[in-house]
Amino acid sequence: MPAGRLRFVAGRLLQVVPVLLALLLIVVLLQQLMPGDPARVIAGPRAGAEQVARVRHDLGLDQSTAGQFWTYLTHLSHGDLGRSNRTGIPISAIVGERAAVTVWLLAGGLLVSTLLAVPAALVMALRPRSVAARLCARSLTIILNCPPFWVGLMLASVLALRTGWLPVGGFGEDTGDRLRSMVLPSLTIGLAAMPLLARSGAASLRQVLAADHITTARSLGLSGWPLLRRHLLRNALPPAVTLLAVQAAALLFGAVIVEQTFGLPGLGAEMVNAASQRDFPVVQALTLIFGTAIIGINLLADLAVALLDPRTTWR
Amino acid sequence: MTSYPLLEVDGLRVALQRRGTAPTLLDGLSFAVAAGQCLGIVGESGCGKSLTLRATMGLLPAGVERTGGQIRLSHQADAAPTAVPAGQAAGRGLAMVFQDSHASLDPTTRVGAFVTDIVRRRTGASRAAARRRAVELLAAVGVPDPALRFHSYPHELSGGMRQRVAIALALATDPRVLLCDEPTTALDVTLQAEILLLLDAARAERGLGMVFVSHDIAVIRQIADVVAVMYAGQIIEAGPVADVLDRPRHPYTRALIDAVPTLEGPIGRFRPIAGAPARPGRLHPLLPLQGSLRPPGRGLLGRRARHRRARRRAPIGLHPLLLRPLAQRPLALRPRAGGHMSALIRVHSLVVDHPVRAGFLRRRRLRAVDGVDLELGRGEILGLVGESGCGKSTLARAIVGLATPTAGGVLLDGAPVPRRRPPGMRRRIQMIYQDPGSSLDPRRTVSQTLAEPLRRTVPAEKIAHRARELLEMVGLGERQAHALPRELSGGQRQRVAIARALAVEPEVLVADEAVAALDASVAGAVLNLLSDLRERLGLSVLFISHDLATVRGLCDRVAVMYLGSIVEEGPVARVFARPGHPYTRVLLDAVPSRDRRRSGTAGPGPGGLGGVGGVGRLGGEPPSPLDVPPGCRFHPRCPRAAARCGTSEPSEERRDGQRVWCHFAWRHEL
Repeated sequence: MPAGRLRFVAGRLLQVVPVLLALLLIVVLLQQLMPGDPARVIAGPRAGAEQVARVRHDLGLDQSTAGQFWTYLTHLSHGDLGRSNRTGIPISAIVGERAAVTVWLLAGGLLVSTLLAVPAALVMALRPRSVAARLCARSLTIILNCPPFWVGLMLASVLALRTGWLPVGGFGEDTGDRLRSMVLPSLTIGLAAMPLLARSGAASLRQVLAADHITTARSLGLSGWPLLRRHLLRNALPPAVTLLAVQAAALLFGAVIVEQTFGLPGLGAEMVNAASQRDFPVVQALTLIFGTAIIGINLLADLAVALLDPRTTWR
Repeated sequence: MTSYPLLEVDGLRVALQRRGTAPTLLDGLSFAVAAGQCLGIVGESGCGKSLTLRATMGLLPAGVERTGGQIRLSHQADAAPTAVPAGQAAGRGLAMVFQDSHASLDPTTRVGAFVTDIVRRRTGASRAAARRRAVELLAAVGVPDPALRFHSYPHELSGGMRQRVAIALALATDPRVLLCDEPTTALDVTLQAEILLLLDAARAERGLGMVFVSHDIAVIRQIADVVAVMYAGQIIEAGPVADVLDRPRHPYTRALIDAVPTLEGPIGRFRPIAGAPARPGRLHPLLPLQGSLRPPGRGLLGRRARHRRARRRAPIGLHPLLLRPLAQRPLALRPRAGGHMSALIRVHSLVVDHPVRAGFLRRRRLRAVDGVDLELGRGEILGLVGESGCGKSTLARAIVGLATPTAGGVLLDGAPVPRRRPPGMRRRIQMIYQDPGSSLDPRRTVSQTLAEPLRRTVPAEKIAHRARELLEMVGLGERQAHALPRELSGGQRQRVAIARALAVEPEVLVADEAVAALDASVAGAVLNLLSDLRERLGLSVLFISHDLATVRGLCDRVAVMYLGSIVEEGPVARVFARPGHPYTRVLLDAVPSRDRRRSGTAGPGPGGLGGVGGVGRLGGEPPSPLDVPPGCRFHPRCPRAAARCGTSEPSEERRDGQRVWCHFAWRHEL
């Protein structure tokens, strides 16, 4: 690996450390920023001042911010995310149970959006005057303007209710059922993410197509698939990959809505429940998990770009 | 010898894709190339010469289409050329080398893998055989350590090396005819000579046909057997090089040749071509009118056309205001000797370092300028020459205040320049950049651009008047005042950049390759303007250029820079006539001549190209400034180097106002 790239990988990995610490700090501070007194909420409306103080002490809320931060870190290092206020179940157990649903949902959404966006981008970039390209561009505009929850409801009413092939909501018992219950949510998320991806992909492809080195490759007799694979895609991918990572946050937010719409027992749905019932430890833990996921996805994207473009170097 | 040409282009027509009457870009072009023959195509920017190559290859840019003509290619020796459908010849008989090797190689593909891929595609050889062939090809085009370079990405190679790789790629398709689109224009003269030599050798060894497009008549003179002169999408004159270039029949050809500055003959004013070059898409039959070459407008017989024709009789390049005092100006008035002029700018032991990353956390300092002493007199034009990367731009930036000196400093009028310059001091030194297309705000009209610097010093109601004066001073009129930069020609844009610099009434202009992006036919007018401004305003100019002939024509003194330090400095006439440093000699020898073909010994080709009188060619490219050789920094490439050059640094030697840092100053011709 060239020295510049190695430097980039090392530098980029190191950069994650302060970002993660900042995220942790925000998560801890979140508790203080939330409206109302968490100790009061946990202790219940009928608890006396003494009881509330005990709860506060148990939660570590009477410590300084630095102390709270340290306690949270030490607990975290043992895999302890705290316990739910409502049920008393360890949050790590809740996450373990529900994370799979969200991961599958995101993976499905990513698959759908890639499968739709890549051909659309190719058609729009390579055959800009064709009927297909114009059709793609128009449909992208329409899809871009449809809110995901509405798309979800429409898909459910058309594909599920009319035909009965797919479940309208819920998460099945066996693998087959579960896969089928993932189809509509994945489509919803994928459709929401696809238009921007397709457009930026097409723009990036168009830019590379006009580059001098593509003319050189053509002058050497390259055309069709070899030209596309060797010289076009590899140069056009980095911007698209970066955009996809930036969209990760939007996708996660989409998951919250879509899980609600389709009644999927994922992290997003749990987040909504916890927030509405003032279950602070759960909100805290899920914020941390979502934040870490976004940092991780962006890190992966940057590493992928470094792998694709040999000129990458740490500035 | 076959009796058939390898490539025949017959009545080639290219037009913009547009409904209705589409503007014609190439208008019935015909030419042929035989085996081992090189056809040179020469003309100004926008005349359609590159487009001709693209159309022949079938690689027209989007929005442009071939509307007529035939391209015939002979695939075997002794076979008549047969018509090839558009786009079928690229990589199958025709190959092309492009100008900008930085942009024309895929940044994500290792050069060896690319060459191997092309070899396999062409021959169907096994992977191992193709790899061997690729290494051979890289070696054949002069890539050192080809087995090692095989794994390099283009951005890891120098410009000259990348151009060699581009040639290896073209040769990997085993072409019959090689089309070259200004392949040496982006390179230093020393590298240009090497690449020309390489192309000529490839042509001779492989019996290639070659079409070589260039704006540079001197380069065409060196490499071509037959030359075609293009203007506005047509070939206006063609024939053997000696006939066309020595005895041009068309006045345009004559003007084109005269516009090129040379290293020979008397030093005089530059001779640009008057008027603006024909714009692509607006082609007219060429009618030379009173020495002016503007194509007549549409209503040739109308009153307006006649009026315009009358106006065209005055040379358009210069404003009458400027012209008057110049006509009487005796050449001898130019202050030619530097020593006894009062120094306006004195650079003393200037060092400029750039921090660079060397390891993961290790930083090193790249010494871009290494102890330079230089003086610029009042009203003097000083040329600064050297290969790319020698530190001339950094030196200029340090003088203007855009780079911070690490040691040493700059004296302006005897007073040291502080690190943070007060605005009044910044005003006194202004800079003109290479590319006026990017140094002017594309959304501001010319008058808005000029008003900006005036706002500080001139009362609001006088700004418009002053802007008009400035425009007049650079030979532009009311019509250009409200134009946007993109509506102006390259030469006009550079005039606007000069006017903007003059707006704050500076004492020094620093011009960094200010005419490098312009055709010689246009650059001459800008250079004359600089020379006139010096005369009228008493300006001092630091003129940075890689073009030695231009420096000779414009400057009073010249400083030659190599790897961060000055190796020779003195009055232009002396330095060019009797260079004291071997490096200067080599640079001068590498400049192709407009008027004669170099008849040397080094070239294996039939033209005997690249032969260099005097000392010989430079080996390789300049070493990295991170790794400056001990002793004389030029000694690893010096044809005259002896043992002590590698150990002791040469001291200054003076003779007739000329300063040279060499152990063998003036003794290298032995």
